[in-house]
Amino acid sequence: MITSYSNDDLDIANFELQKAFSENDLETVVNIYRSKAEFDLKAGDEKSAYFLMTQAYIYALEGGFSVAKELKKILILAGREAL
Amino acid sequence: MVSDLSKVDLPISKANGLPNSHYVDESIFQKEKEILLFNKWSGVAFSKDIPNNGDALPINFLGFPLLVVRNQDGEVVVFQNICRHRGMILVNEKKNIRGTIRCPYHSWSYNLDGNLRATPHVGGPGQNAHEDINKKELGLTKINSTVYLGVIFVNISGNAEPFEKVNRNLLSRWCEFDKSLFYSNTDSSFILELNCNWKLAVENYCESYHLPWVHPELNIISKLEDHYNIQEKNEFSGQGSYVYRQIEDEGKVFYDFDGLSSKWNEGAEYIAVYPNVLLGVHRDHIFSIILEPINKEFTREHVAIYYAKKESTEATFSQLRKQNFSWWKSVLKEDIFVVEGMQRGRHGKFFDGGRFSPIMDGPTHNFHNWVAKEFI
Ligand code: FES
Ligand SMILES: [Fe+2]
Repeated sequence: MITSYSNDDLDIANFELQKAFSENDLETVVNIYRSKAEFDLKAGDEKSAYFLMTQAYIYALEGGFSVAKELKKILILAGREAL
Repeated sequence: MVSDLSKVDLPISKANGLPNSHYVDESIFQKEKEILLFNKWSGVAFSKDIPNNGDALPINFLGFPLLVVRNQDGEVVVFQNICRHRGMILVNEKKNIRGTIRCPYHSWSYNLDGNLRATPHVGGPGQNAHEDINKKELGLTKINSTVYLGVIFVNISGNAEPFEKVNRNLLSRWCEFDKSLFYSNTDSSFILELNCNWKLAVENYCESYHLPWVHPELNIISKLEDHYNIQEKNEFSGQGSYVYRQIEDEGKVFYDFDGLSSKWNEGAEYIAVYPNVLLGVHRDHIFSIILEPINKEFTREHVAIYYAKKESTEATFSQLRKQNFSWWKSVLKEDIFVVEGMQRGRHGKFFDGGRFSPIMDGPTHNFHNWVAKEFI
């Protein structure tokens, strides 16, 4: 997992994300969105964090991944999703 | 165009068939679409098309977008295939859905029972709820559906009486066949294209009068006198045979349904279930046909053969299945020139709907009576 994002890191993440989408690899899509969301949270950028967490949540739902529950809980606790 | 149906209702010995307009007129085609197809129980797909839990199949039935799904409990459910947000088509091609159905536009997400699970960013970026958006009220629109003999029937209008009630006589007549069916993926379905109105395919299917002429190869094993008419007012019509012979290859035959009465040892029946499904039952297999009306003069005929026992779908029976497949395909192909010829005939403006053989044409007349009754 990347712990800090330089512009280069963002390019890499972006590239990986596009690759995952083109391969329909939703698990990787979820992971990329989630780790960037968590990074932004730590960095205090809530706006970006919950936007990205939402993306992760929606694709986790689509893939039927059990992590969707966890992501939903995170969003609910942040007041970003209803019960 | 108005259609004069007064002659259709007369007793068969005096009646005319449906007028030309019911085969060539666009406004009547549109009216029949509503009255005969959307308001009734129409066949739209086969259960074999969605064998696995999570399978989702979009269908455009006469312009109406349907989504046929096998949910996680293995039940068939049918929805209007559009998102409750902006009306986007939800599923574009057949796929297996492991989690939710995610709308490709703004990603509102529905589970396989049609419940709306998530509305991302609906309250602004990263805000996924809004007090005015009640997910409970925004599930997918369900279309009434049921599965019978491998066919998924839908009532699009939602106004028809339950399938079991409408077709109670058929269900009891054929209760011995209403059990698990088995399908072989590689060699048991085909599609024929017919340049005719869908009703002509119904009419031709349910009568045996044409057998000696259109299917002359049947004359030796299955003569005209070996057939009988089947007609149930306002429900169905068809024909039965007393001389069904199983396909065999060096003494090998398909397995039978369990518990059939002796009537079916050499009996077979072929019934058109109004409006657009044609079924045939035999001791060892059935077939189901869905007539998909594409326009007033073009119909796609989808055919699927199902077997009585799982063993019959295994590799050891592939030769026999191939024979059965070719047999039905060639019989059904022989009918194409007559349904297409009758369609071209409907452009002859002096045709009055035709006169019936009072003895042989009962099933066709019965179908026309049904159309007329619904239409008036
Ligand atoms: S149209 Fe489906 S989410 Fe917007
Ligand atoms: Fe025929």
